[in-house]
Amino acid sequence: MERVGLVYPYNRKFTPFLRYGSLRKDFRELRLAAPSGWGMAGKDASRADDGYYIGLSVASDFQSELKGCDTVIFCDYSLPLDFEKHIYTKIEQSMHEKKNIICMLKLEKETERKIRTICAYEGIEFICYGDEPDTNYLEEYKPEADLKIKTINTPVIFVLGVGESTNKFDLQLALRDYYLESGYRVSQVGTRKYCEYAGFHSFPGFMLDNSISEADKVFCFNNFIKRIEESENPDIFIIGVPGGIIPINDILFQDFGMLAYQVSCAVRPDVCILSLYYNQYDHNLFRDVNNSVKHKFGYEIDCFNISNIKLDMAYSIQKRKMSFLNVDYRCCDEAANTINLPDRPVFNISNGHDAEKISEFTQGLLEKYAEIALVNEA
Amino acid sequence: MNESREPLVHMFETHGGRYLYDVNRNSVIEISEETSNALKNKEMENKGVKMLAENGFLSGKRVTTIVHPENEAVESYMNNKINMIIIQVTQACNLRCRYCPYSGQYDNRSHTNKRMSLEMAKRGIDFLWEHSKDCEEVNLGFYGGEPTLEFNLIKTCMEYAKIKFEGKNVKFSITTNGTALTNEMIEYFYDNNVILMISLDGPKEIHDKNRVFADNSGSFEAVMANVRKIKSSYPDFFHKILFNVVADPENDYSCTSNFLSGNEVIKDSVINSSEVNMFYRKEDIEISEDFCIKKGYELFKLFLSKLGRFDQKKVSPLVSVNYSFLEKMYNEQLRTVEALPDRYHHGGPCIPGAQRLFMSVDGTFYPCERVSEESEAVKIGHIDTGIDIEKVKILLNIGKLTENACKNCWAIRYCSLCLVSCDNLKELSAAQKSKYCKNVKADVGNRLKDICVLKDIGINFHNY
Repeated sequence: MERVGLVYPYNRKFTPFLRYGSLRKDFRELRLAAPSGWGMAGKDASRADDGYYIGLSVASDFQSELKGCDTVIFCDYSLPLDFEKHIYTKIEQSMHEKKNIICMLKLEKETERKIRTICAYEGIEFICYGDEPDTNYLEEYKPEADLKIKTINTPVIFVLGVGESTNKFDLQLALRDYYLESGYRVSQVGTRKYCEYAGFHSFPGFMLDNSISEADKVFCFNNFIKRIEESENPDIFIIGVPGGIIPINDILFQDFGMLAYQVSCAVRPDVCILSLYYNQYDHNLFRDVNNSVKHKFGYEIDCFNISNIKLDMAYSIQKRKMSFLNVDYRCCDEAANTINLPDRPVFNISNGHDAEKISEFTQGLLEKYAEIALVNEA
Repeated sequence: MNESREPLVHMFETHGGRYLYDVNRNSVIEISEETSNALKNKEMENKGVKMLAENGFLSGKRVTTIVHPENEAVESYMNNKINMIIIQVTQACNLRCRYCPYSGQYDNRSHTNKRMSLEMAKRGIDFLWEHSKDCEEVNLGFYGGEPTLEFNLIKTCMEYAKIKFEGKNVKFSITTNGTALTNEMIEYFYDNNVILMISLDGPKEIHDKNRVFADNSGSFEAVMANVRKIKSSYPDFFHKILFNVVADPENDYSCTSNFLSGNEVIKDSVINSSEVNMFYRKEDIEISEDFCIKKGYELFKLFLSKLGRFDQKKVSPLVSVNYSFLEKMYNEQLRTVEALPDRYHHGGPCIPGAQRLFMSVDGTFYPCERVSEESEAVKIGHIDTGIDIEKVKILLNIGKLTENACKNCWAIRYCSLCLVSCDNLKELSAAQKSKYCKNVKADVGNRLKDICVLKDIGINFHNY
């Protein structure tokens, strides 16, 4: 592969693509650039998420990095950024210099149309993953008769988080890599809007559509998963659930875990991974969270992940908005090592070793379940 | 955990009722006279007392380990989430305010002519850049002495920061006495959306009592001339100015209040009121009965206004913050929980350096600009060596100084003491900190009473 790619504005939302998946193999050279004010210029790409070393340096001069590359990936970002000033002008520069464009951002319809037209005229590739096609999901996925939840016959792994930004995407990509490399056929629905870039399905937009009733969303999601199962005939199904499973408090309520509840009504997992914010937890917390999930969603958590992301509670409450900070991955090792749960291991996906361990653990569980062949519901 | 210990509660009475604040449940309950008396007499078999106990109240649980919940994350905050750096551009000042921390009445440095070099200032900004990766926006503050005496340095720093933080919002703020503002400065600050905090104590006779030039002449006219200039030339900028009012207990409270709410120039502006800093002060200040009565009267008017029985415009801006405190306490803090955690720390300390990292002219780091620059105990690092994480942890965990007292204190959740309360310039002192406990308990107790009384007479705190 001779391609040279430039990722902009590089930040922690993109880091999972560098750690997992085939992106780095797809490009002969991958360059990263971020606005200079984001504090990463000249640092290793791991500065974005404070995980283990990656070996790619982050630049701040977009224009000079653009020279010699053939594709620009405009990635999703978590910090506020003026779109017109810092993104659109860079897209224009890229088109001007005839670079192919991969966009993971949700663009305004008019902006997208304009970019698509110019790219077509210039003869350059433009792929936009940030938007879903206009589909009437209710019509497409909700059966008119025989309303029932269909059993998913494939083993299902759920990746849940107590909140947004808990390294769920890292977990999903790590599991995908492991199972694909182990020779499994993997179907997957991920937590983000541009999962197609990594080769699987994005979380469907109808689940966030306020015009669809909660019950209809459950039936639609069940059918959505069933259709994928029928068409892809996988050995394993990985489903990442966006957001959090519980309100953090009265102010940071993150949809009260409604989405996780709807998904849990639609599909029953065989293995469930719950990712937590970094903190010093005592054993009771794990018991309480497991009980909460068991009674609310109807299944138990099989293992935990302590993410290297901390919820900045004081700032979040002050601003009425979730705010986070990264923690060095080695701190999560320490936090995970202090927990000794007899039946539910605690992992740290950000340390570079546990990606395989957590995947092996899920595989072990599924192999154990495979020894029991259920006749009903099959 | 020892559940057999005495319930950790605080009982209080208002004109209209008797109440119990249960520390473990973090709840206030109205109780009958009989239950109140039974609790005082430790009659645990009393029907009302038993009912409370059966419903999960009156627990004797104490915190087992005093440790701040952010203790393990201090290094992460220092690496990734320093929100603000305040740069002391100069130690020189054109005023000689009598209660200024640098006036000689406090255990702090005196006025000097030391100024910060441009190189040092840039290194401070670079430090913020290195340590604010996870901040959505950053703040750059300028402090003195009188910072506007170094306007060119400030301007260069701001231009440097705008380039350095390209793609991230940088907010600028300056704490000034307002006497040296020129048209050029005002225009530049306006263009760059600078938050100006101007010190103004009240009408001429009060302001000039303390805020004087080196020749002992008052500074009121100079400040007001500049304030008028801003208001007439940049009215939208004027509304973003914060006026910092220090309510000196030796002054007439009503006189200051009337000036702030009635003066044609100042009225309707944003007032940040504070009382004379008691920390680091060499001699205690006597608060007169007259001051307390007049302040109490202003509070009374504030509460009446909340009931719609007094014109809100006539309420002193000096006290309006008191109601905000009550609203915040009621809506955000008084939330019923199961029990105190095993590991906990009293309220008060913020993470030293994360919110308002202060860098003095010579590059020394302090948790904020309010600490004494003479104190070895509160220095948290230097631009050459970075931040001393272990020192920050010590300053964050001041509850360890008074561990037993804190574990048994009913105000543990609402304590407001931070490191300045313990700082004796050489070390953090438990004895010094303990002197302030009585005041903290009185303040928390009064706020609980205010909430109960105001709710009782019909105030709705939910409009928060």
